[in-house]
Amino acid sequence: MNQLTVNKEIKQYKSLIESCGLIQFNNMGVLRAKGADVLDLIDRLSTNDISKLEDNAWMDTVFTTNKGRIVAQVRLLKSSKQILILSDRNILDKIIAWIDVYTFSEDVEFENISENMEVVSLIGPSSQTIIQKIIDVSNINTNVGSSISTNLDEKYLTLNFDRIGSIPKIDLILDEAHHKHLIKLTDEQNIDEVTANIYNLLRIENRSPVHGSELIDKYNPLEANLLGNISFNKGCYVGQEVVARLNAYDKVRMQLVFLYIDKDCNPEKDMVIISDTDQVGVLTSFEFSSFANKWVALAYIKKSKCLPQGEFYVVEEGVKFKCEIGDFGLTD
Amino acid sequence: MNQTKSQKPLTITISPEAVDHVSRFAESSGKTGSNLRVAVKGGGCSGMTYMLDIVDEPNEGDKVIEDKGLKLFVDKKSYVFLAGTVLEYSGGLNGKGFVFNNPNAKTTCGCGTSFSV
Repeated sequence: MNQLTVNKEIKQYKSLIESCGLIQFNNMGVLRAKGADVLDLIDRLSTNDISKLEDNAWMDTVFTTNKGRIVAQVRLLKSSKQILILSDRNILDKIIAWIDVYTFSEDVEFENISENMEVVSLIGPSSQTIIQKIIDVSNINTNVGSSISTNLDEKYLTLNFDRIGSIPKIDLILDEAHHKHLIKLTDEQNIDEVTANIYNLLRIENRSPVHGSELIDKYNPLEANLLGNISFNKGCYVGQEVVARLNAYDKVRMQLVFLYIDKDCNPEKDMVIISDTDQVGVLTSFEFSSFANKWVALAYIKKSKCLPQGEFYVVEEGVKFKCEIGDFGLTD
Repeated sequence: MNQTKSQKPLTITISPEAVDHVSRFAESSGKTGSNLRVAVKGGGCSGMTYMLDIVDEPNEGDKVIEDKGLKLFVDKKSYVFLAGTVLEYSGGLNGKGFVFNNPNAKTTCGCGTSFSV
């Protein structure tokens, strides 16, 4: 990688952790949910207490199998007018099909509106200041968990106030025409557009799982660092007995761990992680960090082996590369 | 030698004790209907939960089954998961109340209120 590219990547990464960067999520999709029973049905099928979701708020929840394995993680956005479901664009049909299996006489309808919608995020400590310069947010709740539909030149867009780790993140969900306008407005504020690779670094460092890599049906939400998506006080949902038992009896087998891997390694997905001579885990995501001059990676590692003094390696063509556990790598 | 057995079509049946308790429940709860809606809904630890309700009339498209003088209304999708079920009543101090003996249920959750197929 030439120095110019390295400098560009470092600048983008710094914008996320020191000021504000903009990322366009081409992989995100949106479902519009209609019907009187939408929230009740999703509450019965997923891990979080959807009955507590109020208007103008969002909540993450996970659909699980009756064995407690992950089917899909979704974000529900509720306003007085509609309920939107945000998730990976590639699994929206799977989500609709999964809900359909458990739909009997409920009044529910789901429409995939991804083709007409764009999802972008402003990420960084000054993202709130930037959004105030673009949109009038003086009268709206900008606390984490808030989901507000507001005006951008007389057209509605939805804003979700969130964090990735400790860094503020504002998701904007809007139609194509207003997306172009928003990009123009952010350009005027000199906001750096950040590539998917640079966002991936931040995601990995914050142990945030994604579909296709960490969120697959081999693992349960406790293993995938999704404790915050689970209510242990709500009633039954599909998979509840297993998830509750794993948590109550501390029987969670694997843990999602953030690792640094030496720059000379060429990591691959599903690469085996070893400790001594034992296979203890598997690599799920990785990205080269010009900032750290190392690979950053996520891996599922046996919880019993996740000790601060633990030594982990990946082996590539007979060469062992040490994996160091990153900051917060073991934090739940 | 091949033998062809005539098989009874799968249906939903109800035990005399369960019929008795449906009547008593309807009376004590002041329900005006005299028929029983038997259904499945999504949810519960194992994925599907049984539903019972005293109702007057069937919904459009319901399957109507008559057994021991009681009419059972079952929607088509629920019927797929309930065909062959015997609805019984387990009384006494250790009783469980209404019990679904469902041959389609492969697993049930700890409390027995939900099942998977």
